[in-house]
Amino acid sequence: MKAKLLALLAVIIICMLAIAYDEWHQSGQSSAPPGEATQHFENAPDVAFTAQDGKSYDLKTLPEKGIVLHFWASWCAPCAAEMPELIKQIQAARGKLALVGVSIDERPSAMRKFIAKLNLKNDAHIYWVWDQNKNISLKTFNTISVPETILIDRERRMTAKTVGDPGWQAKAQKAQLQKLEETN
Amino acid sequence: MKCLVAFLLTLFIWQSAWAEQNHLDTHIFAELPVQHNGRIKPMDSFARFYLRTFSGDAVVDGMTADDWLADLIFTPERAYGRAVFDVNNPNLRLALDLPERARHHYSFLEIAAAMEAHQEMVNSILSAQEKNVTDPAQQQLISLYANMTAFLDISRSLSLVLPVFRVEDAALARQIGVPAGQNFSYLEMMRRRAQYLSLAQSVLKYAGNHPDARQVVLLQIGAQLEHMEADKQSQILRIVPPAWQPDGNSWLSPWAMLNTGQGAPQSAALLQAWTRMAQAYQENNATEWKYAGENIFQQTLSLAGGQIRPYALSAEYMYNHAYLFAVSLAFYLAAFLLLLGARRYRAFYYVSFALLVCGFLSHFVGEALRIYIMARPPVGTLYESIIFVGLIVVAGSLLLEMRSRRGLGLAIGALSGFALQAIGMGFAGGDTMEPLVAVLNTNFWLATHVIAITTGYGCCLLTGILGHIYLLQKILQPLHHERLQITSRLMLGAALAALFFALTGTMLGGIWADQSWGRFWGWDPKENGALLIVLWLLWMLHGRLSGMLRANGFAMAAAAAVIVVALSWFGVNLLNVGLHSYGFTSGIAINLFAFIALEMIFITTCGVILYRRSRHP
Repeated sequence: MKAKLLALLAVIIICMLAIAYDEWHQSGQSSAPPGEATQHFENAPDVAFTAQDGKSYDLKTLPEKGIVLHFWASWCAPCAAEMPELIKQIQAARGKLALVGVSIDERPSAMRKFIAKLNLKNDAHIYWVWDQNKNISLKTFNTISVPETILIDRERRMTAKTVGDPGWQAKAQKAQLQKLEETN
Repeated sequence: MKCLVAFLLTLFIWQSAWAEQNHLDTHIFAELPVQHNGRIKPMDSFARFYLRTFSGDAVVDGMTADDWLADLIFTPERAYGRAVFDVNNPNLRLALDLPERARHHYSFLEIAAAMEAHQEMVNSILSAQEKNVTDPAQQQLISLYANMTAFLDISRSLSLVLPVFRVEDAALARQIGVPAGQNFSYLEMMRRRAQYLSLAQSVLKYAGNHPDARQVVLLQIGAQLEHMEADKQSQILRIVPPAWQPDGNSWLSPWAMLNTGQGAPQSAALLQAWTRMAQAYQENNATEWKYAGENIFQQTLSLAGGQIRPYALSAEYMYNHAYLFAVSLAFYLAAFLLLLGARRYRAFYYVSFALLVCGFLSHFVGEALRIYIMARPPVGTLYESIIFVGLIVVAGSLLLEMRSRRGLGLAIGALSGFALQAIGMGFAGGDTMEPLVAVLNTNFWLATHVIAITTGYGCCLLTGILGHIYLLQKILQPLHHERLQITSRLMLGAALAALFFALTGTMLGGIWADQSWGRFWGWDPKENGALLIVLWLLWMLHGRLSGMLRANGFAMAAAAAVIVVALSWFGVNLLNVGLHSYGFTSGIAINLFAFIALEMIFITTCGVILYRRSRHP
């Protein structure tokens, strides 16, 4: 009789443990889905640079709300294709977004020539930077190829990176830029 | 005496000085996380996996796998000369003109040279369809080639941060913008690419036959850059967690990270730390090595978010180094050997008991560590089922022994524990902790089902072994009625336990199948196998309860249960159909058929002898 009771007790305990484990397992899954766990935005590093206008700036203290940090070169065809559209988006943001265009050209003259060709009437909120010795691109941001773009929000956190020309006129890209200026 | 002490002291000092000077603490390196085969593991497991794949052993030339891997990625040029590739096929050695050696181990350089010398033959074999190649020598050549490719891939993993460039000329170094007389890396070189290219223009324009020293250096740099173009393909050593992908599951090798545009400030810092570690390795700087290693660990941890469980990495390192299953195997063997002498010396019995307990503990701790490391139930593959059944059988035998105290349980536990661990080792190829397909890894019912059913296998096996013992006892010592009765009782108990677990496991499997595949029962071969065990046990037990089977018949049926288990456990997978197939393995087929044949012969012989004896007592 005693043995039967013991066996029954064991079975009940095993069942309870099993249910408890199941609950725990499921709760663990719902609270931390695999995607969410890794998506925390890192702060952008402190980067000081001298823009084409000869003034020194700091990435963190730019007056605009959001920053589009864009790596490009004059010899790169996709960059040339993408640039006008990107600038259009920046201008449409009416001062809420800044474009920091970091050129990895071998000479600053190549960069200047490219910019002159763009024939911009209004280049407010656009900072052209020649990246000497790839201090910004390769050393700080580990970026070796162009075009690559990093989006930095109002709190100066890096929210996304795009590789290649994403097509800035596309809805998704516009929304992403929109989100950048709206972040609070 | 004084001399001896002095000698030992000198030896000790010399030894520790040597250790300090020449030996960096690879423990730090060994626990660094890397993603491989779909899971995050310590570098130690990665190193063991590849060193075993290449050389068939986890230690080569007195070097541990960790030492070997560190050498391979930090000083590849040195590692290329180290004999790690096992070429055990004599025909292949002959075909490649490799010199005969005791261990058939050859270095990357040796084999590469041999393959180049026999390029035509090698190419013709490599271009053949792999399925059509049946000659063992040719098969080994194909796998050797794949291994060499993997070896080269790993060796180039960190080449972008290794200080392989050097400019002695101070003026030239200043022009390029690099430190004179100091080594620097590819990444640093790439930052000075513009300066280099403008200087290199002059070399390209030079038409003479005797370039000056300066031009030679520039050409050398160009050649090195050209040479490193191939390194960009390196992708096996995935040590960089993705910084930009929101799902973030797939890690990248340093080269792949850079080339697919996945670089970020965090990865820049991580590569910086790897640079320091490489430098510390090359300079044999223990302090810097330790610091860089800890730095890499922290950086990877923060970049990977919640993906890494640091304690699991340490646990896996411990698991790799403790060889707990091999230790338990040794304990089981020792327990059995001592038991043989227990009849003369009672003390041997106790020691044997203690040894079996030690074996069980080490077996158990190994299993527990696996559960912790993999964060899932212990049975998901054939290998794991063998190890787990072994544990159950030994646990069952210990329980038997505690009840009967006659050495019977010890003998069964020691022998079957030893046998199952030995079989398990045969199945332990590659990474034994590879993640399961998603459907196997997530479901609670499946987990309980697998555990219950394998416990059922274990108990059924125990019943079978007891059946064998009963038959032998009955034939050899028919007058020991008391002993026979005990065995018979234990057999009955084990059979009942087996029935309980097999039935529960089958039912749980049905529930899971209903959830996962939408039906409770589908006459899948494995389902039939499990049902067969249940039916066999039911038949046996009912026969016994109804008196249709007497003690001898019951024991024969119990002994035959081993065959049923073997068929359900291994046999079903050979059919290569159904949802439980692990794939056809011809080696298992031969062993299985041999086993069944032997069992049949044994049981029939016992049956015939006992029958004749009952007719003519």
